Amino acid sequence: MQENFTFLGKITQGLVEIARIPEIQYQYNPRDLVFQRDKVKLYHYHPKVKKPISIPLLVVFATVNRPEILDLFPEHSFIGRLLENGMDVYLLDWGYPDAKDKDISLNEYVTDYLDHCVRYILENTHHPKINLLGICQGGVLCLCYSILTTNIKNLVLISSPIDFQTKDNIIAQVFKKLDIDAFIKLVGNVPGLWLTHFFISLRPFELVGKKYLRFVDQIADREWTARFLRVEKWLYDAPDQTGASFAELIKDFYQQNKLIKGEIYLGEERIDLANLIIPVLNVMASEDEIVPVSATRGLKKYIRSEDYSQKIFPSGHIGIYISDKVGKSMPKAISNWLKKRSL
Amino acid sequence: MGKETKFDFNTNWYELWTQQSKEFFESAEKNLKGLFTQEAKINPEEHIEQINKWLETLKKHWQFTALNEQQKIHENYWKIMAKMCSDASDMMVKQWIQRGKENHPIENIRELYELWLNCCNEIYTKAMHSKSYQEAYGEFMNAAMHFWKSAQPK
Repeated sequence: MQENFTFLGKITQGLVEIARIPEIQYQYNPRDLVFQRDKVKLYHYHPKVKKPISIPLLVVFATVNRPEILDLFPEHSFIGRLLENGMDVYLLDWGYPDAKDKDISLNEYVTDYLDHCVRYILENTHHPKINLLGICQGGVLCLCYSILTTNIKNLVLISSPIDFQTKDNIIAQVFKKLDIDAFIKLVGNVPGLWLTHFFISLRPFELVGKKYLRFVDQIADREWTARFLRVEKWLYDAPDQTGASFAELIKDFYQQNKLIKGEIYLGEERIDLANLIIPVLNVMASEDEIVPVSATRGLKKYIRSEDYSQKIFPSGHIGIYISDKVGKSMPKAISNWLKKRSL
Repeated sequence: MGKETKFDFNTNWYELWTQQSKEFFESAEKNLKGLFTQEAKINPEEHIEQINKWLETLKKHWQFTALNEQQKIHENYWKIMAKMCSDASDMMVKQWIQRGKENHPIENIRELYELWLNCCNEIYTKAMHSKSYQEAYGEFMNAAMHFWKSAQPK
């Protein structure tokens, strides 16, 4: 029974460690805030090589989580490695919407906020086009933007759903009959913590039970614990979602699968995937349960890009940015693909 | 009276896990009294009655018996959850016995707990991919929303 006593002691020690999370500060590779519109911020990272490729790369994360995951451990982060591979990186940060922002729609995210950030980069770097990298739902926004404008030279998508109703898309199945209007009426903006709880509810024994068991097992390893707590801080830091944009995401994308049907409208503009003609690199994570490979890999058949590539990495939806397995290979593959097309 | 009804999203998952894992350890210690101290390598088949009695206690944690009228709409969801718990318990006992036969026995409650989590994970993952659970979960979310909506001050 001594072992049980020790284990219960470690659980209590874990409580002390978890209580430290609010004190933990995010760290970043050196960067400057270069532009801001309302709560949306644009950062420019300091290049890590003497001559980065001249065409800037704008990275756009999903609104549903914080982009800090891309630079969580700056010494070997996704963004850090893009910089090491010669990219000139900008990052769009959607911020934390509050009650005043509840009416911000996907249209405004794309044609106002994203467009302003792209235009800032174009004007300040004197390039006619930039490269765009969109992640998850941020990838969907980038895809729409690339169809609507001529500002983008190359488009990279990571874990970006296209067909929202493939059989193994668990989220789509659960949300099939979700009364989103009642929900939005009830909450206004969708709390980020609700989303976090929802994602946990898809794999609770993995993301709570087994995860915390590993945590208390490793609790004496200070370095491991510090890394764990930083990821934990990120996990529970999901921003609230504006009611309008979240309702559109659920109704138009998940429930009616309008993107592949060509029925999405941003303002007056119809999003016709067949109008996407620029080079596209479509990146997927083989163990992704949030955006399964099946939701993503069909893109090629809907677009007209003659230069289309896809790559699948052995990881999960979030692990792809922080795992040792693909930590180096994914940013390198993306950088190489962009370099060849940025001459 | 007069207190506003609203969602509480501030679940602390670590505290919740702490509570649940402690319950597992305490009930295992109480119900499997002496099993792991008497013999270094126990054969669960010889103690199956004692183990099943303990499992009945464990299963109660997944049962939601006191449903009021408004909560009745959740019944299907809780029935599926209870079935999953029962399946996970059966799987755990089978694997516990199997590990003994393969000379890789469970030697303490910590190991038994890990086996329990693995079995729950396997059963839940399978259910999550099933149409019946996906539908029940979707209905559960809608019902919860409508409940909170009706509970809001007019």
